[in-house]
Amino acid sequence: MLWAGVALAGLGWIFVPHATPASDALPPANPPTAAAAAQRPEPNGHYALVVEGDRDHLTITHAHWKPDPWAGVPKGLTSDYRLAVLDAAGDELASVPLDLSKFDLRPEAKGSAVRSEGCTVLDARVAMLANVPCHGDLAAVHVFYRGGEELGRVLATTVRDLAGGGK
Amino acid sequence: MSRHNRFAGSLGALAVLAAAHAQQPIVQTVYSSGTTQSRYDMVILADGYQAAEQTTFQNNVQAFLTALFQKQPYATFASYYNVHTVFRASVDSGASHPDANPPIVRNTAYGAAYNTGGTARCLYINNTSQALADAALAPANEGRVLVFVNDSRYGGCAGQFAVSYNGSSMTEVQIHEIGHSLGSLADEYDYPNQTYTGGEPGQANISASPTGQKWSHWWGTDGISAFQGAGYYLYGLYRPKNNCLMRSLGVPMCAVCQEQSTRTLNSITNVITSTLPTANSLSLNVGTVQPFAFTHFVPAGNSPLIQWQLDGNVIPGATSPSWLLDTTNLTLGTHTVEASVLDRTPIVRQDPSQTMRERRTWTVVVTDPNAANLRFSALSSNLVWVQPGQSPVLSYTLANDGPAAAGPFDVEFFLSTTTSYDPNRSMYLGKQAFASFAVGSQAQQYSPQVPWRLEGRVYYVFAVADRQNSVRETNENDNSRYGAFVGQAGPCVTKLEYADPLVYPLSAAALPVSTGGAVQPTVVARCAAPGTLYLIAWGCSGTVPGTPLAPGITVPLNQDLCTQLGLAAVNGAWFQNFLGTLDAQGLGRATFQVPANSGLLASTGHFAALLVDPVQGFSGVTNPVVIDLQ
Repeated sequence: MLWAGVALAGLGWIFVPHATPASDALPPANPPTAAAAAQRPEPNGHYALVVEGDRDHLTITHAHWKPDPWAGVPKGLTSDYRLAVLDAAGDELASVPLDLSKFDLRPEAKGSAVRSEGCTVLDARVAMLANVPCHGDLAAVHVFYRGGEELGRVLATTVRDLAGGGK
Repeated sequence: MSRHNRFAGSLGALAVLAAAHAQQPIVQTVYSSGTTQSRYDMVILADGYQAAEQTTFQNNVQAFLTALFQKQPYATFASYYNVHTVFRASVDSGASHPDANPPIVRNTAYGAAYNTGGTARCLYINNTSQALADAALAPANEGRVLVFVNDSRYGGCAGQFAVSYNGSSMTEVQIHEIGHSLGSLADEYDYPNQTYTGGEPGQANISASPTGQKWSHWWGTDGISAFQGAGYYLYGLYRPKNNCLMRSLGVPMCAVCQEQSTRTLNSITNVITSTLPTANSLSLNVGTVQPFAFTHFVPAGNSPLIQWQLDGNVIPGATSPSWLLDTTNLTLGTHTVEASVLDRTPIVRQDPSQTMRERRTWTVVVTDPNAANLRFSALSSNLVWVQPGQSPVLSYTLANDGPAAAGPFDVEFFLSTTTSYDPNRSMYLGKQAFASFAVGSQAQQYSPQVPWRLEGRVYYVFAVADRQNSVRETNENDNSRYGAFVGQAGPCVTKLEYADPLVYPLSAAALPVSTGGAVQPTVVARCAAPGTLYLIAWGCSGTVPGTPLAPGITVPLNQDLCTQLGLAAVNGAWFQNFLGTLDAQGLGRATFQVPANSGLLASTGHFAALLVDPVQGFSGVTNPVVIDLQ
């Protein structure tokens, strides 16, 4: 009867709400947090972050809080690299793709000196600005990803300290 | 301490303070068009300028901006920019020249140096960390940063930073470099005797295609064609125009480069500035007329096209920045209002990422104080494995969120093999009627008999409230809930049941004789031998005592005129497939078709089926099912 148990687990003998058109999958292990998200306060301004590292490791070295609202992700920008802001429960408060197109991210280039081609510079060391919404005390950690691979994490308290505290 | 000495001491302290102050970067906004959220915030840093040379830096910036906003596409979109400068004084004036003999070494804020990467004219900065930290001091930034270097030797380079010297070609060099840095454009110049053999480059303005297919939408305009020699290769790479700022200083950007730079700019700016309502979600009572409006800064010369959409449908004639939503005839529940403005500048002809269209969306919930809202909060079954003909107990909780009571309405049940149900295809399990349903939740139970033709597979059970939409509800899209169970192989029974949509119980069906119609009596005999014949008979005189066929086999029909009519016309237009052989699943599907105004009288009769084994003769009979001609 092992197969039966597996089948039942797969079916999830929990009846779920059905929207029109039918789109409900069986519920995830962690309930969706849409309701929680709806109750979250709006972000309070944004951070201008200095992100440094290389193709395999990224961190935040400087942070400045800006009172103006975050302007959002540029239309059409996609990237394997992103910076996610997570709350204490691990839910994403924001996910911002990182435009690393100006850096030499080839594995063989890692650690190499700056190259130039014509009047363009290719550097394997990443040093860039990233803007992310500021979620204040709701934010617990900022995590860098390439695809599903984590490349570094910085506690939100550290970011707040870099920014002079208070936000 | 003498008076003189106190004064000298104060001067000394002031000098220390001034020196400390001089080391702090000075942030200024030198060109402002609007909010940082809406505009492209350009940040310009100074390197190799001593404290006393701050005015030189500001003059360089002004000269650059004057030149920039006289060139296309920057002239058209000048109002899309804010420009901020951050001045950090350097210890030394100028940049390092490591390739000079002897090398010149300068102590500057960001370590500007020529010969970066071995290219003599590649002037770039080395202390990128400090430069970014300073750039982040500006009120806002877009990631890429410009740097002016106070040195008269020709040079510039671009990466994350667009760097230029401040000599006579400063403005041209810097505009070229921001073509790289902000516009992601490639160099179009070439080096002698090199042949490109790689794939298609990602940049918009160079191509391995000898025809320049990627800019084919510009062919024939502005001299655009395909010219060999680009991206540092003399052969194998092509540029759109014979000459362009990305190839030579002193010439305009070509149409292809202008288009790319414009798309990049518009991917970052938000041309819709203020909106009414300011909140992006609102709740309105039905009948309310709500004004919507927005402001934008697309230049009038670019022929901005404004559209309003309601639930994805364009509102004809609504082309101004304001629009009135009349909720009188809207269904209750959630609706979407979208405003958009499309910049139709001739500078952009192709825009796959829709960077030239800006949208704002409002979610509008239309409510009615006299409406109800039905939804299921739970649904479960006492059986996980269900056999054909069994009656699982379905327990469910139905809520009415109010504010008004609901009713009358039905809760109906369906069986489907997918995660959606279709009332015209899914197996029907009947309904429960509610005359009235007060605000609040009610736990209910329902125990339908599942069909005898149930197969061994996964089934989804749906509970659906008010499918007929007889209740006015705030949200009509949350009236169903589903779950799954597993159908099991059934016992060896011989049954007759209806397989029609919305017919339940499965042992009774009705047809109006005036308008006619059809029902599908279906024989279920899973264990019958392959090739077994079935015959469905009709009787109008009851089921008891029935008609004996063989010892132990009695058809539960009393023979009468209906029986004779049915047998006489078997497999005709009225009694389709009433005589046949069971299929591989042991099913025999028939259709009883009554034409309109057939002359039949209203009556209540029955169908019943008998099985004829090719070897043993009569091998079984089914239960009777009611056919009610009304």
